[in-house]
Amino acid sequence: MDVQGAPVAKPYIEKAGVTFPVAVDTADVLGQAFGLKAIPVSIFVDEVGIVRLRAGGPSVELLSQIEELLQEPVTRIRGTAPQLATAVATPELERKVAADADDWRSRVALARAYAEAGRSDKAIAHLETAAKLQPDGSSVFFVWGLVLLQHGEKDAALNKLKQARDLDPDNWRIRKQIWAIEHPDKFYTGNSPDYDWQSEQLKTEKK
Amino acid sequence: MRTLLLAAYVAGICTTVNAATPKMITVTVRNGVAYSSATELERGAAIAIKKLPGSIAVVACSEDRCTRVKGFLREGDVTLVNVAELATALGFAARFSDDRRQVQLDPKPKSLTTDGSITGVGELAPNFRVARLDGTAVSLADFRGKRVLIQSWASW
Repeated sequence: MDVQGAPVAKPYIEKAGVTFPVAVDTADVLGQAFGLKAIPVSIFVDEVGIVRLRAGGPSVELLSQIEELLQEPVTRIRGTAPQLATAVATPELERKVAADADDWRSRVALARAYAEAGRSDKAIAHLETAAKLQPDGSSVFFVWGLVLLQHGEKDAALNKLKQARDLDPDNWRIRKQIWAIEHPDKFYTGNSPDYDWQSEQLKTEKK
Repeated sequence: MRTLLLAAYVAGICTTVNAATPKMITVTVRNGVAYSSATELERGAAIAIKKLPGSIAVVACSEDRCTRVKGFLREGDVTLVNVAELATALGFAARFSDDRRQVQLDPKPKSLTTDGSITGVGELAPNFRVARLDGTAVSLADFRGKRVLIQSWASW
């Protein structure tokens, strides 16, 4: 869940030698879908498509619950899940925004798609509109920050990410994401992030 | 000849309608309350009944919706679910046979677009798309029909 993208994630993945598919959620897709305020979070989805389990980081209890779920007979029913705006293709998002100018979620997803296609001017225009429609929407400002960061505008990006943080102050993911961009030396120079520094930083910000 | 063709045409329509109609499923009565087994609900009404670790309710999901049901009994390996509670919670119409030994569960239409609200345990996971490390896209829908563990993590 790094807005900085694959380069910061890759070293960890290569070191761990994981065999499962790894994706980089640069635009807070999972965070918004599942309301994640802090991570790690494990989510088990069964063959029907039902979220059966949600828990914090790996634990003995979590492993035994997963083992129990895996022992169930496989159901033949397959659910048809709703589509998040981020799973919808760009032309469809354009149609949705044209049909409903107030659909800020589709607008944010469209902005992200434009940003990925290198059209950050169009992306930002849609985010400006989305922010007017949803001025308390932390996620709008988060994606705005992401788009600016991808466009190389670090200071402006941090400004938007901080707006997102202030709208959702208990959200650890946004807070730590900002720290990682502002203080890369505390995150990417040693073997692991400097957790003592993070405790101190949090005390300072809470004042 | 014309009549025969017409009859065949009408029969064809009836077959189609029947195929789209939910089947009658067996009702089991306990203490005067109508229940159906998880197996019957899956076979006849395409409703999956699943346990949730740590919850006193089971989750019931049809194709496009899920709900929690507290009215259920366990008899050995058999799970019996309260039909009326299930139907109300899922937004289905329950049509009992005259002798109340069978029931038909009929879904009422529901929109498939998400309102963007947060997905919790016991709900259908929304489909999302993110990029793999190599930049190619991956969707939850790519794993349809499989059991998936999503582990969220970050470098910070």
